Amino acid sequence: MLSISHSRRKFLQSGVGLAGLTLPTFLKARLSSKSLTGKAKACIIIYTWGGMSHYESFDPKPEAPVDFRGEFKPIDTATPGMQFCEHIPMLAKHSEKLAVIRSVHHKQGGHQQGMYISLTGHDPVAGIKAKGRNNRPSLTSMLSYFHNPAVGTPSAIRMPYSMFDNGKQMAGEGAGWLGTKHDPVLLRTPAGKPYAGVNRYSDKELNLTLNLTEKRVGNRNALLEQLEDTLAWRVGHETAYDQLDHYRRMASDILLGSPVRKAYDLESEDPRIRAMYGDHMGGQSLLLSRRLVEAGVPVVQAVCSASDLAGGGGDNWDTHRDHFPKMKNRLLPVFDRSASALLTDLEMRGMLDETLVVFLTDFGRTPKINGNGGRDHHPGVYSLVLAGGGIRGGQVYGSSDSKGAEPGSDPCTPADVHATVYKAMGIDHSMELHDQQGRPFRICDGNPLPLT
Amino acid sequence: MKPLPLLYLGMFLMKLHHFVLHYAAINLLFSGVLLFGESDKPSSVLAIEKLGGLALPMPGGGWEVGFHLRGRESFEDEGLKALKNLGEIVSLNLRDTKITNKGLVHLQGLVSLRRLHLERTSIDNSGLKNLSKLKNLEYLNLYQTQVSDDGLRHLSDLKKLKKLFLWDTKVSDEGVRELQKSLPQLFVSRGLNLEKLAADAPKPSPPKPRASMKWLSSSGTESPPTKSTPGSPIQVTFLNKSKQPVKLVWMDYGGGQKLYGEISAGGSREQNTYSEAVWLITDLNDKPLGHFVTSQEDANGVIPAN
Repeated sequence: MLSISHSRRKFLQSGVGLAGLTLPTFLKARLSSKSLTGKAKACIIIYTWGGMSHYESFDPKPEAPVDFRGEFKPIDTATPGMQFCEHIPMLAKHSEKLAVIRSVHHKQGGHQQGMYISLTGHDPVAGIKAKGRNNRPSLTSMLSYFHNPAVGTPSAIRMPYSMFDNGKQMAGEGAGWLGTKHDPVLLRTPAGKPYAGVNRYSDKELNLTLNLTEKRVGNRNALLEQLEDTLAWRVGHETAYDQLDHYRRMASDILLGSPVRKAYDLESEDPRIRAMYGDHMGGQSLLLSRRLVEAGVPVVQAVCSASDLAGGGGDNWDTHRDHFPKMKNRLLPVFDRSASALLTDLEMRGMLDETLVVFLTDFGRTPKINGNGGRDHHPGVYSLVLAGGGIRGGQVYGSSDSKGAEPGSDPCTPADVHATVYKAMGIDHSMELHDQQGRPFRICDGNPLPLT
Repeated sequence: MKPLPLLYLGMFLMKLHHFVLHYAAINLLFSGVLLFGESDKPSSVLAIEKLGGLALPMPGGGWEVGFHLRGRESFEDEGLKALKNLGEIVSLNLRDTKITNKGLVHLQGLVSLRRLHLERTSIDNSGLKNLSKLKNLEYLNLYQTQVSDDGLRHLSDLKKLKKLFLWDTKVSDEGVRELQKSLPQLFVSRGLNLEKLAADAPKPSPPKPRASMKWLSSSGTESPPTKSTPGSPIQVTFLNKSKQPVKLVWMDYGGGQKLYGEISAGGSREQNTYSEAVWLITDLNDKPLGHFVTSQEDANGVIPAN
């Protein structure tokens, strides 16, 4: 028995572990460094899949011609001089917590490409695939690489599903060359009205609801059998044994009494708090994010959108048609309520100073409204937002030009935003890691923005 | 499907060994090897881990200790004695633990503490007097405790205190004002009034009466579009008021016909669809009777009697 234990350990150290910087080394590096000032211990990434319009959110252009500015009006926020779109009134009240970056831009006009650069910080190469091990690691997995939570606590969780475009799963959400062990664990949000449209639960997501009763957890044998059946079915024939084993081990560790299992049980949350987040999967996902961070999960990513863009049909942010009614009636109310509730909740629990909240999206939308009353893809300039984790709120970094078409001042890239995130989390963004072939990679090519 | 038997074999083997060593091995791996390497972990750190706690060295020196994760089931007052041998403790998290007012006596000597979490514990005013000498305290979290105004008086000498969290406690506005007189730089978070929040929550608006889609009879003059255009998801209900069963056919984006089912005479059918979709109604011999074209709103589609 000892020999099996030993080989398992070796397996984890050599097979899954990296040739590059190991955790003890990192810890020593961190301790010897005086320059790292990061305060954030945890990070929640809110991803609006499809490309959120900067006009109808954080960068309204009331002075632009009518076919550019659109039909919504700006409103004042709690910060003098900062205005948001009228349909995010709750977030407007939180502006003193937000650093709004209005000058992000890149060159990737497609969903796969825009999402890849937004989540990994690097331009995609041709032929990237969802499960590719040569992909760049997502921000979610890279941040988790530097954390080592207790047993039964995954170092990164994403929910409620993967991002798809017309049935094809997107590359960029996994750990890529960091290895299977650092793939964020996919968790299904157990409550809330689902996003309308096409939602694909075809991956290895864990749905712990069935297994939550104490009686079952007490009976470990039955539990594991059930788990094996479920995972064997889900993971299916495409997965190597070690990957199955990784998930299986993770799942059983979660189920057998870790704080994460309790966090997953949204029924145990105060019903008034649940109501604050709203009875929608968008809100309940962010509520679950807070509970997971409380339970010791260092990195959580929530997709706030239907999972498949499906040609623009459904509740996703790819608003080529009927942009205004869709934003006003379906997308912005859920987003506004959920994200504001998260900020309120983190703040009153004293968690906001150590929890970094990051809003990401593929790109912005085109300045001119098209013939279908929609806006198309526009990576030329768009807005992203950071909050908490030592970020100074109530500030705007950079600007777009008068029509919202190009950066007006202080242009920056997704990589710069990532560098800012790494810095806030106390990680040296210029550090080099080695992939499994020993090739060196710099984790981020950007420069931190002065937002702290 | 080929590798499946291998998977099952693997899982069977795993199951055999699981209870005996799997869990223990993983425990060891995650708590020990990856972080420090087993050999160089100080005994004071091991003592804290034994109690379900975690001790991490801080970048600027000193230690950060927490019992709020695995330790919350098992950790009790006496556990705080384990902190003595660790050295300077800068941050201590006791959230959700079984710490009591009595146990807080052990905090009196921790004068390096800058951050202290006592939220969601059973402590009240009598415990707070043990904090009055923690002069370096900058952050104190007391939400969901029994603390009231009397307890806050013990904090008035903590001149470095910058943030105090008091949501869901018994303190009053007056008590907070009084404390802020002594500590003018102090930020106090009182959080939300959940009762008020629930009362102010938007009431679900009464369901709007559903619009009816226009019936474009095949014998009429108005010709419908020949294909659907992709739109936003909506729901429609088809009501068959005619005296015969009908077929429900969706005109797809290329103009092709896709049969969705039959609706009996007098029957109805709920259908998820998209805006700007074209639905064709035929009799059972596929003779067209009429069309509906959906709009942005949920709606009814009434197939008329004649």
